[in-house]
Amino acid sequence: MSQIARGILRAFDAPSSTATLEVIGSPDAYLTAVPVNRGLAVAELVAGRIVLLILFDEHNPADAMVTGVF
Amino acid sequence: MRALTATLAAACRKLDAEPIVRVRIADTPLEAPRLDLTQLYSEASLDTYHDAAVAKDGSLVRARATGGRLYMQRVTTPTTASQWSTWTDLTAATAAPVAIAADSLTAAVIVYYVSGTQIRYSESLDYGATWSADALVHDPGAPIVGLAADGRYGYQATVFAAVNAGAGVNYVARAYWTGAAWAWDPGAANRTAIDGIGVGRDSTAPNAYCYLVIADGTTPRISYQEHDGINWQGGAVIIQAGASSPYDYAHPRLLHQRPADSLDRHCLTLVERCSAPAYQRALISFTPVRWWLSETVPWDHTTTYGVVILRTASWWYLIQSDRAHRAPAYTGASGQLLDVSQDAVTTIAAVEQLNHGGELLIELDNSAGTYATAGQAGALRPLRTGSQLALGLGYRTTGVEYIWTSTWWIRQIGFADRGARGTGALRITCIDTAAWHELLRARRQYQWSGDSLGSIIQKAWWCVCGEASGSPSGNMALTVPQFSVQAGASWGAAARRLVESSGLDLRFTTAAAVTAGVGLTSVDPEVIDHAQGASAYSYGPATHPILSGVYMQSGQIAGHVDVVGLDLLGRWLDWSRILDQWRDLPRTVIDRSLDAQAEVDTRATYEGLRLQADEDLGLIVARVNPGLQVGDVIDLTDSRAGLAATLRHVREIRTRYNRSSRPHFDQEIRLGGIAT
Repeated sequence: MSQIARGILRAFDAPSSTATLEVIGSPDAYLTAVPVNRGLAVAELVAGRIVLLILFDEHNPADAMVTGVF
Repeated sequence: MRALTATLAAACRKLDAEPIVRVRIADTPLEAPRLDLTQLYSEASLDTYHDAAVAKDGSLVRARATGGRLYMQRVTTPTTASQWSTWTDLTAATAAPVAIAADSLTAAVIVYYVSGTQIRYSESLDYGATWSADALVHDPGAPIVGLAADGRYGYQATVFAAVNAGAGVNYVARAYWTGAAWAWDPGAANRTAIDGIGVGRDSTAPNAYCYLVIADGTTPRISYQEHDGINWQGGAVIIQAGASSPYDYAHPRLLHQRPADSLDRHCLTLVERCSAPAYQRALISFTPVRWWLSETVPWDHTTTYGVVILRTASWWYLIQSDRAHRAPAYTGASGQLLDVSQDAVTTIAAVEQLNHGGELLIELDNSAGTYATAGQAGALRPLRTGSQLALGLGYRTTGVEYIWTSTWWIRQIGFADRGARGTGALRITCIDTAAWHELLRARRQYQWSGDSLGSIIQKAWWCVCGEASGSPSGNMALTVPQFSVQAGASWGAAARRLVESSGLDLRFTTAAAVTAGVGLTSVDPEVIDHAQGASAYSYGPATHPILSGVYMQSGQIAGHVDVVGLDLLGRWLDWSRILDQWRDLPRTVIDRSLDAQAEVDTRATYEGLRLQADEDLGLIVARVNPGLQVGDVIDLTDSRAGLAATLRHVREIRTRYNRSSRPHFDQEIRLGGIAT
């Protein structure tokens, strides 16, 4: 089942366009290698920013996308 | 289906057989002990390095390092508070880790402590009553940040030491007594920021491995390793905080205890430190696998140096440096186990559903106020939320015959007072294992990489059944690149996803070997093919009479499933359905963890078979069959409905027992189709 979630960007890997995220509600364990919308401005993808995350499959973090940063 | 004896099977089919009902309630709610703790003592906050062990004579030996001294204590009568607050000043010691090992075969107890950069020890040969002069184990020439001692079991004394030799070159070393001197095996200098170690050993295999838990890492974690007496082996990360998160872990301890009550669990404790919000708190976990940590209970007293869990023959002890608590071990004694006589049971209404949680209501006759003290200290203590309830159903045959059906957990206790009639009832509402599993939520996010579905489901279900070995089904051998359970997500929902994507169903029953019906190993998980296979039981006039029935024929319209994997398409088509309806109604499933054609094809077949079988095909009402389980395939014969040994699967069972003016002892069995 798809989910929309807020997250806190903890790290961004530009070459693979993937992120390490703290999904709000899990402050001690992070989701890793989450694909990031390649249209987002890289300069905005800094640690600590709030991001909008769509989990197309709640059990498969690779099937997800960071769609926005604010 | 649970097996029936020939006599019980015969009684099920008679309309006048006398029902037998058994209700047994145990104050052991989960697949881990429920520590009903009583505080033994506490003193003004003196949280410091400490350790404790149980000597062979059962006395508790404690050590703590504070104010430049090492203090020892021996507690022979735990209920005497003064014994807990009386300390003997043994020797000078640095404020650093201490460790105690008690020999399980002799009166020997050894305490290890730190003086400067030296690891030193003192030995007692009388269960901790008196101590030898201290002596040197080894001086690594660098700060010692962790000590963990291994009981000797009649063999060589061993102490593991974490040495902070510099950034990036910290190490965990092993010192052991050769019979003439201490040997020092420094191991690999490959660790950073060590903040405590713990050691455990399987008490049933004393010559086997030492199990180490180590707090270390620039990204804070508790890791696990084994030492076989010669080499380091294995390795796993038990818990890891996100880089730059406010969380950190320290002072892990491991106890493996397998006493006579068959509790095959490892007890792992650690200190969780958080900077925002600021706290330092012990977490306690009982886990069937030493490197699994998915269920923890927080301890409500702040501690920097953690807690020690000990187990004696009759008690669990939870010891901090400045306080101690204990809880009785489960023995099935009065106050822990309650057998309810059949005379007291007036009503039973149970609903069990396939792949979903069930509910149970039991009413006990309380006209005389028998249960007025339910849940309070005393014999009725088990009548409280979280206790385990076993329900046995059967018939009087040549004797009393019954089967423990499902295991239930008490959700609420209440009273119904019918004063006008001069009667009253104790109402016990319960949920079954599946519902309990649904309630249990992930405390943090869990993510597994490259693990099989069969392995993952055991990590999801052990918290309600303890089962942690073997592959539940060949269908679950598939390895997936990633599987995660989000913080706050239901473990039951995760387990359901895993079985349903494998063409299977998950149900729980009372383990046949557990004749008591309750206990820490009473719940058995069963993974079965969904709505497939031969009939396990027959209903009809010549077999088990059907009291009433509603029979629906298949109304399946869709006959097309597409499974979209990682750039792959698997397709399942039910041609008879498509041509019969002259429609092509596709159902699409997206699962991008499937990355091979065979995987999407297999998944499409599983989804198609589920599509065929997941229909409501009516219900029957019949006398109680205590062996029947949801998910069973049964056959029905009813000539008026044109049914002759027609297969159905059991989607839901509603069991009713009532011994009032209109007595009932029957089951309403809701039916589903069969995958062909």
